[in-house]
Amino acid sequence: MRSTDVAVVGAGIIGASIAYYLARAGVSVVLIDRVRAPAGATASATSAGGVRQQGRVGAELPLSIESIRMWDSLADELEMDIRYRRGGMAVCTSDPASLAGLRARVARERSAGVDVRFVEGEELHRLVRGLSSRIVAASYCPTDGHADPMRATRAFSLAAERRGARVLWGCELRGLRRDGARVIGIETSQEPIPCSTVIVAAGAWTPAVAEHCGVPLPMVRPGFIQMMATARYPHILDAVLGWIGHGISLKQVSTGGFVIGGGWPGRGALDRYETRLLPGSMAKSAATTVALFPALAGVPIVRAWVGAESFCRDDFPIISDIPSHPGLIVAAGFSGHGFALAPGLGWRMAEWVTTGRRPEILGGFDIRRFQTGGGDSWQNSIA
Amino acid sequence: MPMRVEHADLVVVGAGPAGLSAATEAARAGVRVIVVDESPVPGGCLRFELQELFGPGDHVEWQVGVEEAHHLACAAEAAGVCVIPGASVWGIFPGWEVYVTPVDPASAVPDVIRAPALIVATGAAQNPMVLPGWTLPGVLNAGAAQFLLNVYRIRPGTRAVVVGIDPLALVVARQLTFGGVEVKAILPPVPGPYVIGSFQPDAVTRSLDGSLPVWGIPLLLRRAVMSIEGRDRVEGVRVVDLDADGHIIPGGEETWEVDAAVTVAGLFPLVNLILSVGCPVVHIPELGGHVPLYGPDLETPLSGLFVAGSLTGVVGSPIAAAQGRLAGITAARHLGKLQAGRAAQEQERIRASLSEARARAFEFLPDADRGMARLAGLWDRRAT
Amino acid sequence: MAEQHRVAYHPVLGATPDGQPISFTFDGRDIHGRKGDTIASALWALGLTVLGQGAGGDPRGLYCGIGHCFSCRVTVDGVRGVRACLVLIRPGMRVERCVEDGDANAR
Repeated sequence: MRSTDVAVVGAGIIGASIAYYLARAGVSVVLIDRVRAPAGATASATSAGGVRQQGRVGAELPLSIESIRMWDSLADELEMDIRYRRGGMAVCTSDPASLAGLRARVARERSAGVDVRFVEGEELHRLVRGLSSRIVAASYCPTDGHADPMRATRAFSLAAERRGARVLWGCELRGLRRDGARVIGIETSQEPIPCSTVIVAAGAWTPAVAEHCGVPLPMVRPGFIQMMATARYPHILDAVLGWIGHGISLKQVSTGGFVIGGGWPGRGALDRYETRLLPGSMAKSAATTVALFPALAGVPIVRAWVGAESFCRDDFPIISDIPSHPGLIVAAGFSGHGFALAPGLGWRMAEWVTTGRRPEILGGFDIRRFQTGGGDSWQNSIA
Repeated sequence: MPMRVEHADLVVVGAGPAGLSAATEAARAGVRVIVVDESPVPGGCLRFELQELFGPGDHVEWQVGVEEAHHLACAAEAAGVCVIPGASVWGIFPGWEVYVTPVDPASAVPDVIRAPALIVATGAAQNPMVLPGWTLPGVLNAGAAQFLLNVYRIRPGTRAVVVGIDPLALVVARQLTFGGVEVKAILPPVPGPYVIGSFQPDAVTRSLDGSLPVWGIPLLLRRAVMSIEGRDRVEGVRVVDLDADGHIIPGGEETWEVDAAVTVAGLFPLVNLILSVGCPVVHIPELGGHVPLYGPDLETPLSGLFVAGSLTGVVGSPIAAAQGRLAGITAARHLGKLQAGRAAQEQERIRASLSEARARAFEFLPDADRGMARLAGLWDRRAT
Repeated sequence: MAEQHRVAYHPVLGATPDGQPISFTFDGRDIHGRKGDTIASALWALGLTVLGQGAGGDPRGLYCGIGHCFSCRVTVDGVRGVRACLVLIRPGMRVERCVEDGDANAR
């Protein structure tokens, strides 16, 4: 049997990125996915594809800055056009009472090294033409942008293969093999895979996969997110737009259509890979979009879809070893803002595995933050 | 903006022969029915049909689809059915809630139609034939060519080829000649990974050489269309020679000047809408592709959801209409508008006439019986 | 403009009725079709088969005739993405070809 160092479970954007950087570092990797990624009901297929540094809090901030630098050359690195566009991002507000808070956030991010600035009035409306006159100010970062999540996800797994990773589709994790507490491999629906490290990046399915490994993850829950896309339209919007207090994300992609996101709810059943649109949610998100960017009134919506994302209780991902299961690492719970972090995370994960030491930049995502009280039995004390 | 909501007992999606017949049957049982269809005129694909019926002696009668469709639409209207043309269903949600948008932006249609029962009769569409140049203006699939000729009285061109060999190809070729189009030949496309309808040689065809004249039009078995040429529209086709096994013989390439290419590559049921409702769909090639899972009375595993017409497996319009009547009765029974015993009688009567009609009718699909048997087995074994 | 592709007489269906003329515009040009024509049929009768341009610059027009493929999409009275094969012509209707942009950065 071929020798494997690392098994990565889940070939969405996170798992595929991790597999790629590991393979590039010379690590022997097997990447498995229950279906053929990126599959329809997953977060990678439902991502709005935003690649931003602004609006990040805590440990996500330095990781996103590092990651955005990598996005610039990712298409060359992965040898595929992933439709990355760096047209800036404007997080807008129509509420005068929010201006102070917005200025404060901008100042905080600037001091952390993000190229973001506060813009208002005429300057803002010149910078982003077509914004509703209701919008009074925005935080604008010229190096934010967007990419195509389906292409990016596929590009990572193809590139991983080119670098020597083995990719197994239709392969489901059934259990963990351990020698005492130490992980020594996984059982799958195909072949058993002996390995010294298992990285679970299975998105909304992570708690179920972790359950098969004997690791409960009560702080991670699935959420169903709804997206819409319009017909092609002449190019009129470079920046990605957000609207404080209205939960909308709007961008125009390189092929001309507009992609509407922002965390609108859909419905679904994880175990059956089933999803369902909510017409009320669609109507509200469409109305909000037109209120933000009036040119879209009357532009047909050609596609709407729902996918499952993994949400973590405190809105930060878990990128962590599991204390009770040495050799097992979980990378999930990205709560709707993991896409942009993928390259940086993959690269740092490769560093972790090859050096045996977790890079400091990932320290803030430790699962031990959920520990209440002390002791080794972190699981028993997770609130 | 407030939404315009309409209420009914039954919504029928599709105003083809199946949908109209279902609506009429249900309405006669006292059901309030609304039918929606994207086309501006009801009748579906029946409208473009022009069928020859052979009677005793030399008597030939023509069945004109436009007239047949008109009769069905009038019968529906007389029964009190509300037909909304030019209305595109973009989503169906449990309840049922049928969301609609106008095809012509200047038209007004309801935004939502609510009804406890739903019949989906969205019919079938033609498979594309993907050859280089297939997107040029002037390339039409068989349905579009028939619409132009038989409904709008328009010639697709002056000189055409029909690409693809099956009974429909012969029908279309003849209809082209009725329209005054010179049909250079009926011939297959070259085989290829994305090409449906390339010629499958068998013992009979291997022994046939040259061309067979069909109504004066050459039917070629030893030549095939490789690509469609033209800058802004169809200007010609490149044709190659085939050997008896259907392989290309190099060196015999020729370009024919034509201004229209009609492609014929079979039909497949349009399951998009019913899939999005959550109805289980199964793949049965003998019925044309994916079909919804349904039972003998055209009920589906979802309560209050019924199907009829070519959506259930590609069929001709007489069978589609009979299925429609059956689905209409089943829906009326489900709604409590028809007393169970009486409904059962009607259903049995229509089912009997359906099997008879299937035995006699021109079947688009030669192995449909096998497909129906497989479907029946899947229905019996369905998870309940 | 002459209706070069309209069939005047059909051996089974008989003479094509004249039909009430309806005027509309196509890319600013005055067009006359007949009552009952769709945008696609009225234009095809006159030999106008190119209804738009795809993102790659390729010409496109009527293909399936039943509203399934969207290849016949045109702009009607300012609204994009309207299927010419499904919409009946109306007096004064303003029809324009839909020319689509490809990669925005390539322009």
